Amino acid sequence: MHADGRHSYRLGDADAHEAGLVTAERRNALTFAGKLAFFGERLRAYAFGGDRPGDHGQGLLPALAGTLTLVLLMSLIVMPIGVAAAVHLHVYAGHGRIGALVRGAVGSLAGVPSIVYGVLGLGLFVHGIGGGLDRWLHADRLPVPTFGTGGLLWAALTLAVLTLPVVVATVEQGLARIPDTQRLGSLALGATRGETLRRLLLPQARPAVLSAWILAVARAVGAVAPLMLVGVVKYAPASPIDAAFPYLHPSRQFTHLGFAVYDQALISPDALVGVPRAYSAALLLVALVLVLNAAAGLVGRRLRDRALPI
Amino acid sequence: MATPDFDSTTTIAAQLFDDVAIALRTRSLSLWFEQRQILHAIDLAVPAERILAVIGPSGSGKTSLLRCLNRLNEEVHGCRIDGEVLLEGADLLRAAVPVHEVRRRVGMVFPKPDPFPLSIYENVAYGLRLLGLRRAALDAPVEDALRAVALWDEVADRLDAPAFALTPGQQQRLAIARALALQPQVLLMDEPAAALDPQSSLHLEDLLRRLGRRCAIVLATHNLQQAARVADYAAFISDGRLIEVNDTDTLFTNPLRRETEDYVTGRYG
Repeated sequence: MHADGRHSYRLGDADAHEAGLVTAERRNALTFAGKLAFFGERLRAYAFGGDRPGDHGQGLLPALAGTLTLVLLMSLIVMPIGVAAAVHLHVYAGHGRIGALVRGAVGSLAGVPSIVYGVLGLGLFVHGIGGGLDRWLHADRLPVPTFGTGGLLWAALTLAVLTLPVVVATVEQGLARIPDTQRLGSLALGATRGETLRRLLLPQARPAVLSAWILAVARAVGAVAPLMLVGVVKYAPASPIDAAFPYLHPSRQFTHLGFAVYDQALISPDALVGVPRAYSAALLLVALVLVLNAAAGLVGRRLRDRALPI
Repeated sequence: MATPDFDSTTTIAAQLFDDVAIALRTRSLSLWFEQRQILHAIDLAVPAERILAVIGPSGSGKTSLLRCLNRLNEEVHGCRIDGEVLLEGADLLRAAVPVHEVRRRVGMVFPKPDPFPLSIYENVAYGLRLLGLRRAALDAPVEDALRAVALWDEVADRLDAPAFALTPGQQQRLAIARALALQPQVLLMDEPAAALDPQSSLHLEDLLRRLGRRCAIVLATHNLQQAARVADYAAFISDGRLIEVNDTDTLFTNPLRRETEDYVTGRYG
């Protein structure tokens, strides 16, 4: 028995195999410091992976980082395009048949099942654009694909397409809520349409832009099915973010919390270990969405409190 | 086009504008929204540094006429304009003058005070900032504009407060200051007292009388008492046609046209 109350049982290899035991602790006998150390060790194994049979090979931290990176990259793609599309619809295509057609199309896109976007991403981004890039930039390495396989960038693009309708619709509604008298008041003071948009309308639509972003993130985090087609993996051989320049490697495959839930719950050989891990991954995923929403809410309150800049 | 059951030509009192300069003039100005004709060949002169009231029943085209003068109708889908709007001899409708330049020279105040969600200061500075002026160059014109609408003493100590915090009457005076800051040659006022209580409304009329010596004002209103109290001249418009232009006293007491008399004495319709 160790001084800290922890026992190590030395078992023969055959016994250990038979008993399924790798380590054993008398947890009730642990001192406070020992408990802390034990807790820290389990937390480390949870995050980075441990050597117990139940420990996820890589831990859940890469999955958390992968999810976060994916969502942020997707936001960087979808928000400018979505806001620009909403502005165009509101300001320039508001009347007439084309505006109605585009609005109808955006509405229907929002109802398309996410797996369909996965197929689109696989065909268009991975095989189409990715394959083309490989033939152009990495012809020497073919047939080993660089861009022509699932990866973070293609998954982010796929999710951007998936969330575009909700961003366009939300931002356009936000713009439509601003009374037309504001727009006319600005025009009557000699502002051009562009100046009115930039100085008056877009600043007032910021809460809507923020809501659009929250909705986009919520939809993107929940969409696991399309990711399976465009780059999510159980174990990423190399993380898409690391210390090597250029730090973000958008062509690399990645792991994702949503996929970890699926993987642990259904694929894990040991249900007693896998199902709780799936639950914990799911909890982590929900917590991530909550944290992102709370952050967006804080930013939103700051935006509202501040007088609009000119 | 429906033919009106009255004489649709315009009667202008003889020698009416003989001793005043004309700031703005329309020639045969007609306006359509889609297929509907709103204004019928309007020939209107706006005297400089005077107040011209445009009176007429609701829907007669007062607002549409005003919005022709600063080209704001062009923001409405399906609008078509024919004729000329002359400011210092230049036709504003032909693209020689950029539209935002037109709107700087011909300012507008709307019926409902609707300040921008900015500070009091920034509301007044809005148009000036569009010209590229920086804060140091803004203080003086902002103060001038706020003094001109008698708002300076009320807000001098809280220029950075949001404009929404002002009363409706103050907000409407802020809207006038916003337009005045650009030193327009003509100020169009579309029912400026429509959303105000009687007290604020009278306050506004005092203000208008003073501003009328500063730039040309076109005041559209269906409040005849208000028109009689503040305007130097009055134009009666009915069904998109300009019926009579006269000095205010004559138009209300001894109009030249039967239609005008019916309207100002309440026998209209």
